[in-house]
Amino acid sequence: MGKYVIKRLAALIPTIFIVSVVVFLIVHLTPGDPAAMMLGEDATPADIAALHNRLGLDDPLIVQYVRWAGKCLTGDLGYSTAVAGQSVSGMIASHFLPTILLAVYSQLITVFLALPLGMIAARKRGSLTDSALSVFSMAGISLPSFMMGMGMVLLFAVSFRLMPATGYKNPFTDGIGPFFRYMTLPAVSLGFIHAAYMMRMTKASLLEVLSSDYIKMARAKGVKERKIVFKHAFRNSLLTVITVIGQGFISALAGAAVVERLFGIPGMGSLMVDSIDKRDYQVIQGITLMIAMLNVLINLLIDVIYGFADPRIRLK
Amino acid sequence: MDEYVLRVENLVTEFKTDRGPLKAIDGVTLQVKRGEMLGLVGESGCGKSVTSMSVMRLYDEKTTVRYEGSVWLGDTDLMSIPYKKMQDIRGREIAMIFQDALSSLNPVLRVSDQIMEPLITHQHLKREDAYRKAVEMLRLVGIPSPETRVDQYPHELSGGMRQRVMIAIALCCRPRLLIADEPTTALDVTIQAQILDLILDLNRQMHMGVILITHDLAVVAQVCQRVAVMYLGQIVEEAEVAELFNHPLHPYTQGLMDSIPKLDGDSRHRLHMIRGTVPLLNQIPRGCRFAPRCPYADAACSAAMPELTQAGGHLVRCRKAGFTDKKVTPDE
Repeated sequence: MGKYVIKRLAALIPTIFIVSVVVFLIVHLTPGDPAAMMLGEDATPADIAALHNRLGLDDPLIVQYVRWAGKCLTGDLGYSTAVAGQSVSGMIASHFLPTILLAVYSQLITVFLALPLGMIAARKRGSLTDSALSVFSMAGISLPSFMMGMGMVLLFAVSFRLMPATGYKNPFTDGIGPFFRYMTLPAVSLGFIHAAYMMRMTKASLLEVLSSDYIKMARAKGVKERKIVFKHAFRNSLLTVITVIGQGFISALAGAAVVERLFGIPGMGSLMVDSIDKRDYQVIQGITLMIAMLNVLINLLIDVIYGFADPRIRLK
Repeated sequence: MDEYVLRVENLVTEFKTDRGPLKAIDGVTLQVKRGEMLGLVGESGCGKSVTSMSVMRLYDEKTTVRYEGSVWLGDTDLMSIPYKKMQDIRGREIAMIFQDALSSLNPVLRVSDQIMEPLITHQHLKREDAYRKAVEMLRLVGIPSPETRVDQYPHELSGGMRQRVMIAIALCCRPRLLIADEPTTALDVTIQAQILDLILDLNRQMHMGVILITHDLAVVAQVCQRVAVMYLGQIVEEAEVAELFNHPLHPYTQGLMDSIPKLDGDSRHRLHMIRGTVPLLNQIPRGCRFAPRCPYADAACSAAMPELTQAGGHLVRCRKAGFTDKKVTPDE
């Protein structure tokens, strides 16, 4: 198992390299001169040239990349060009927690909603329950998260006044209760699409596993039906489900921009949207890199969990 | 004394399909004695496997299947007990092994878990005891160094070993009856012989009845005492092994025998084929089901279904059985 993890870790290096090159190029190949932008419209050509020199913008692209990548490795992602004196790492650090908490919370809701419902749909295939769940999941997949979010704000915040419409509470400083009161609506609207999708995948993979030979064999051994589903079938269908959970987490990070904006949560999504408004390239670059790295890490985590769930992968 | 372990009487298995019911098995009757090995042979799709699955009631009775007839295990009619009760029968009284051991063993569970499961379920053994028994079972089925193998996963074993593991799982509760559904088809010839020997050996040691399902007549000749030949969901002939091989009475059995390539045969001769193909289940012919493919059939054969009747030590389902026995010709 240790060897397997080390192998997966080593495989990350090329991925991270490619990701960093792409992120670097996206910003540097974008038309427009960052120096001119930073100095404003009435800057003299001499000022611009001086800043160019200071920022190293005249060096060959490779030199610029190596310098940038080296700084990134030490955690220095540069400085915001829009907000004077703010380091990108610092800005990301202060916006990091809400996004991660939102993603984790929404995924928990997704998993606890989707797995049992998917299993029920598979066990009761063709029944009224199955059809109802099918309709429910189709609706879930078709509803964009901002629609879902606005609908829920109207329903739970405006009509029933059960929860606040916007805002964020830090669970560590403000307490766990307020955190849930503020974050449940955004988490549900972020996770709902994915819950619908995961439910369908759980159902499909469980059905596939339930029709396999080793389930027939387990029945022929006299194993109880409940044990067949939970011990024999679920672990095998889990392989598909793990992948879906990983995808869900990644799309929760990406989708956070919309939901954070909608609910006024000061996370990386909000920061990203603000930075795009201000053409703050350094911050955009930093967040993009950060989210790409999170993706890579989540994929690593999924690979490792795979190894635990499926002995065939572990030993290869 | 003939003690029957299993008596199947007029078993009908009907699948519910979108286009109406399909009878995959139509009135199968067979018996297995204690310690006896019964071969069940026939082409693909003749209902061999459906018979075994039906005896175990492994199909989903709510949505896919309807049974008729009875399956007597000792004094119990398995067809009339509640479905849940079958869980106590399966694995304890009747065990089953399948063709493809790789796909029949759960890939994410250790060999030990899979052997211990029936022991814990049926005999209520403690985990340690079940584990010890699992090692013992692996040794019994001839797996070398069972102490290490028992902790491995199915994909770490060879094909022959996986088949042995499956046999160990099936036999760990010492069932009265073992149904082996093409247990050797997926194996190469040397391993095939070893597995057959093992089944035969355990059959003698444990004195259990065995139904060996196969399409390989050579396998049946090697290990079985009696053979039942199936065609399109019915038994068409049943007899002692030597008797059936030497004097096949039903034209279908004769056709099967003639289709076996012979080493001393003339290689310029083409292999014998039974003409035509097995009809689909929704196009079952009236009267004798084999009539459209039978070289001896006449109008009367297609008019009414012949009954399974006694004839010279055989049970045979053919009006003309007497005439068509090529091997017993008048000049003999």
